[in-house]
Amino acid sequence: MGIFLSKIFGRILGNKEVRILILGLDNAGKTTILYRLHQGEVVTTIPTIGFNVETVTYKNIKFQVWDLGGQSSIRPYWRCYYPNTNAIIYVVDSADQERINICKDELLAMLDEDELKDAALCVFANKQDLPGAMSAAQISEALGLAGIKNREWSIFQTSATKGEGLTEGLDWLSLTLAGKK
Amino acid sequence: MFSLISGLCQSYLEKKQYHLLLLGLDGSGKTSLLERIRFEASKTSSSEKRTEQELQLSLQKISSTVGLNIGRITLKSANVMIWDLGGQEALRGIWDKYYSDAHGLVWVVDASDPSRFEEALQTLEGLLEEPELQDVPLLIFVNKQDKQGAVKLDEIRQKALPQSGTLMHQRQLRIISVSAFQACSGSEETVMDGMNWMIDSLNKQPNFEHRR
Repeated sequence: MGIFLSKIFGRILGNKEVRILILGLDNAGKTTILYRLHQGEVVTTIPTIGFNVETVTYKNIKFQVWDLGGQSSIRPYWRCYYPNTNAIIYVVDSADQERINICKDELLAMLDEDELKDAALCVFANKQDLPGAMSAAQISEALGLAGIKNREWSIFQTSATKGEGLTEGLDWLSLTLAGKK
Repeated sequence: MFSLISGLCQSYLEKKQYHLLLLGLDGSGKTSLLERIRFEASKTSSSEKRTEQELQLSLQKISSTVGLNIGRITLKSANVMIWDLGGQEALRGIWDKYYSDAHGLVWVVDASDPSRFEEALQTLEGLLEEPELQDVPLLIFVNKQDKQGAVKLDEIRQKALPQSGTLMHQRQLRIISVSAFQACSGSEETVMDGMNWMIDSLNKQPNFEHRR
């Protein structure tokens, strides 16, 4: 009964829940972003083994956000979380020029997956506060984003520790996902 | 025999697929127009119904695009995919990745910003010189007609669009004054008139199969 009522209220108020995965190489800042979005503050994190999941409500949309561990040994398990995903937030460590190619390969492999073919892609060029951080333009070039033609994508310069750029990303996601459903 | 018939049926029933590029300077209103087009197209076909009010709300929320927005609509029984790319100067470098796959070009001019007419003109002229966009039909939306101080179409033609006898006029061309914020109704030409014209033009061109 309670569920039924809350569903009806959800309809009336326009609440809907979308499922979002935060992915990226290890140490890109995924967990920091998740908790910055959820609690609005910077938490101390340790490398994620497994996942963290939180619900973030933003502009009437409930984002169910999954943050998956990014180490190479556990990346194969990302695929278990792919079904029913509406959008991917792909986090890049902008200061890590050495691994940008690995970053690209992982992204391309992921976008090839059938279960993600309708998911929108939101790239966070994170750690903009660090010296030597690549710009959004440089990263989109390095990741080959302009080759993407079948899905919505966008890139934002972010700094999770300073809280910059994250809401712009959520704004884009809410607009994009509202238009798709 | 069966496969012949089923093949014939399939090619008859198969919907045409068109890709349109929606380009213009940053802030010209590409994403808003895309939302308007999506909204108007969904009125007739899809089950999802947004109200005009909901559309206005989401139009308020649009911020500048960095990347790609996609609109998928069905118009005149063709599947149309519209690519809306960010228009900031730094982002224009990615436009050319989409030229070879585009069947039609939609250009947006902000009629309320005379200070950027020159830049708009030069950018459009550059686009029209692209070999991969040589024969594609061109639809021009002169946007933001609802704003105070919006320049009239005749003056836009003089100042923000290439003059007659240039590359622009060697192709199928249509220029329409619009506003993304105004509902498509009444006697004036609307966004959807433009889109329907585009699809008609594309349907007339049989030799587009080489594009993906």
